[in-house]
Amino acid sequence: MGKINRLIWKNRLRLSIGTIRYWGQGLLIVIVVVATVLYRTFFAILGAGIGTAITERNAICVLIGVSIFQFAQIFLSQNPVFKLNAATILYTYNTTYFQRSLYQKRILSVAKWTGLSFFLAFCMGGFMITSEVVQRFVFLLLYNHCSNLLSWIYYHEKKKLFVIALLFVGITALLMLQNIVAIIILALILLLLEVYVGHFIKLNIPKYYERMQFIDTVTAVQSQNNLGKMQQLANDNRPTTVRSHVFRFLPVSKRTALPVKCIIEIVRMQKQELILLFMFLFAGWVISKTAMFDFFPTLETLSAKNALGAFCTMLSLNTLYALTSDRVKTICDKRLLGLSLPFSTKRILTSYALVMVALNLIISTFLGILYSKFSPVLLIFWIIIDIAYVVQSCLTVYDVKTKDLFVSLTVLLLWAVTYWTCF
Amino acid sequence: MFFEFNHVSYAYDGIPALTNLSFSGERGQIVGLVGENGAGKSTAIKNIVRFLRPDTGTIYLKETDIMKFGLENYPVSYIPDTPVFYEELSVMEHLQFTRAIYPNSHANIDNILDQFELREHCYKIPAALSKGTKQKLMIAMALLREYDLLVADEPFSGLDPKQIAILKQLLVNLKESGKLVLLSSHLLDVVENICDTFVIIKQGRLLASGTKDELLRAANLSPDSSMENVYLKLVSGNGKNK
Repeated sequence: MGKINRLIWKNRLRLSIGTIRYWGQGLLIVIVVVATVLYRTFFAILGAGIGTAITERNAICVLIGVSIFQFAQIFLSQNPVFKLNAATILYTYNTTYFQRSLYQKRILSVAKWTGLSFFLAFCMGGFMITSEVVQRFVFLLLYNHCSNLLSWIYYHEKKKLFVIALLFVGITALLMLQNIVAIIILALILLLLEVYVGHFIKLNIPKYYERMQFIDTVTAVQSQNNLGKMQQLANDNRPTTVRSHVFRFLPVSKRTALPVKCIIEIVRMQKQELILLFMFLFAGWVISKTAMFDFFPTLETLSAKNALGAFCTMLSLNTLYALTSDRVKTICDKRLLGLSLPFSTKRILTSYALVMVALNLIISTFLGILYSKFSPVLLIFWIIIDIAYVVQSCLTVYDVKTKDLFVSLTVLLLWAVTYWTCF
Repeated sequence: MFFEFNHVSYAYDGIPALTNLSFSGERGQIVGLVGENGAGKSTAIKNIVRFLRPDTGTIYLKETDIMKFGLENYPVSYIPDTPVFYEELSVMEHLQFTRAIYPNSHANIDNILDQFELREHCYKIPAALSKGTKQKLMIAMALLREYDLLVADEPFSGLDPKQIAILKQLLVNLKESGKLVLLSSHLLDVVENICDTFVIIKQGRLLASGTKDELLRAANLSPDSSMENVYLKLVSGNGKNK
């Protein structure tokens, strides 16, 4: 078995070297950002300090965060929690090595969650080891490991949704209770889950094998920095079905075709684009409304924080406008490729603008709620961002020579109006 | 009977993929598993390699239920339709890996390298190999262990005529050495000459099985007709299915 493990580790090591070579800097930045955010979350938002534990209310918030993470892991993630290479599954499935590998993965998972649970309990307990910290650590460890096993069972046996959901609700309630009886019940549940996973689970090998093939391919193209293949994989992995039933109430005629198309495009926006837009919005709120980034020398003053918050919010708006303008341009360009469209460029621009004006109204209201600003100024904000969109889409579609200059001016306008209205 | 797929049914979440399917094979035979896309060929194969467990029915190998074989002595080797490798291990390391999994095997890496003309590719990673060479490596790995039944799922797909000829010869050699080969393929003209018996599946059910002559008779076709004609006639329902 030693030689098999050695070869598998050799493969993993070579893949990791490739990944670090091409993506090392990016990974380092991500690690630094995550570490900074975690550090600031504990110190600036949750109120922890050396020797000062976070309050009971904040502790509940952290535990809810852990539960949300585990919920996503069990019910939303497409990936199994214990990963073996597709090649390992294929070549060793009918050998004891396969069972042993899965067992090793479970042990490694316990080790990983031991470390993470201890770290979390340690941070929550004011960076000290007390009996409370130990108790919380035990809770988190039992909870996280139970969730891992539930995730593994649900991945292979989708039919057990009801039982798994019930167990998840149960262990989450026990996590919140935090008393000795809860620990005993959690430990018993864990024991039962271990026995089930070890002896009775019916593995869905074809599904597991296929998914691991995909994950292996992604890891390999990442390690080889094969951007073309990455794009191809992303396209291949997009859902093959689209939600159409939501638009039945929108009658499509020649008059409404373009606005409906715009609405459909917005609703079916790619997940990555949506995440980016919300990340900018969220970052703007965190920077301006919390003490998360106050440690930056330039963010000591309120006006500087607000300026940066407004900048992030503006980025979100600007990205949305740029994406929509590009779509309008794509439609117009298709005419040059021979597509017969019974609409003029002006008509296409107007139809999209109509929908965007309505969307801008929703955005303005949302920002008003987010920043607690309810005044006629919001109306001016709405008008100005509409103008910004129209200018940007016209510049994109007509490909004006001085486009870059005007787009920059639009961005400045958006920034200024966001700062003036929201902060 | 050396191998028997006995009244096996399997359903994916209630949707039947195999219904009461039966066929068999003897040592020194190549059995062709033929059917259109979604007919159930791959499901049948996944049951044989124990990736799936039949809902009803039993699969026998050497008169033993395949589920009763231990983990170390299951004598079935499998070549999947898509080659799967460790992306960063060389050809040689892949062969060493298989050898390490089956330390009691009498197959020799050096012989396999020569037999499959893989020596010049010894230190290349899979990404640097052509599709044909990848397929050869898959087969080499499948043969580097003790087995009685070789299951090959679409082994000819994507290969050029020369590589197909080499692979066909290889399968014939295996058959002559007393192994049973179960070959699933769409390419009827390719498998026609090497298979001893054919199993035609449609929508998870057995449509017909037997030697080419038996199938020609069942389809009421002249002896010089091709397997393609037999297949099309049987699938369209104009024949006396066996």
